[in-house]
Amino acid sequence: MEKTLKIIKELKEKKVLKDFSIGGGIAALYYIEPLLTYDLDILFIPIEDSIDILTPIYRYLKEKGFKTKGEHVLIEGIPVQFIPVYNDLVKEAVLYSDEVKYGRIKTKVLGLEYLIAVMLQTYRPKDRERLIKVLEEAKIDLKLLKKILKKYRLYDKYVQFKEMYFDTK
Amino acid sequence: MINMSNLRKCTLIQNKAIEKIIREKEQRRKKLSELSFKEKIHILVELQKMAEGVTKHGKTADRVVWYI
Repeated sequence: MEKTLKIIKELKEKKVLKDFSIGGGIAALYYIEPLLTYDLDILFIPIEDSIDILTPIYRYLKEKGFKTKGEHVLIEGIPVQFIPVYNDLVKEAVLYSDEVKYGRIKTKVLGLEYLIAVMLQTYRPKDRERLIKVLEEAKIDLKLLKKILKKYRLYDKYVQFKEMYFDTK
Repeated sequence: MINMSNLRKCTLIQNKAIEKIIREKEQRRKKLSELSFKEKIHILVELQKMAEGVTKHGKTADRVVWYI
């Protein structure tokens, strides 16, 4: 994992991408109990807008000898999926990510409150499942969460979700 | 003939036992959530190994046990 994170960090240092952050299941796992997932999602801001923003990343990694497997690149034994930021919320989430340490490597993980907002926006069954766990187990800055959710018009959805899955009375 | 008083007592004991299990599970989840990132990744890999034998139609190709 350390080697994988080092290679991903290198992509930023070598200006193959502008910025990145760990998202998805591994970001959730950072805040809650370990949960089963199989890929490492890397949300990234590309260096420049183009039709094929993944090409520079894939080219760089291919030159390093890493192979692709479906939509993943297998980096040091871990399937990594690179996801370009697809809207303003995700872009802001990457920019305001938390810097965390994994062993000796410094990396970035989506901030908890942004992660909640992204999961609420994506709202697939697995996002809802993770949301329940995150809301139960993690220490949330409710003021910051409300600010983000209001900005991206997700606050009502959050209230509905809480009413549906938690005893709010 | 069913003794209602005994039945009520049994239900109460069962409920208390279940409450205790739920409380302990919550405590365990909380403890696990406080582990370091590295420790959690190690547990994740163990979970992947455990799930290796469980196949779901069409999903197996993406399931790689991480080599860390």
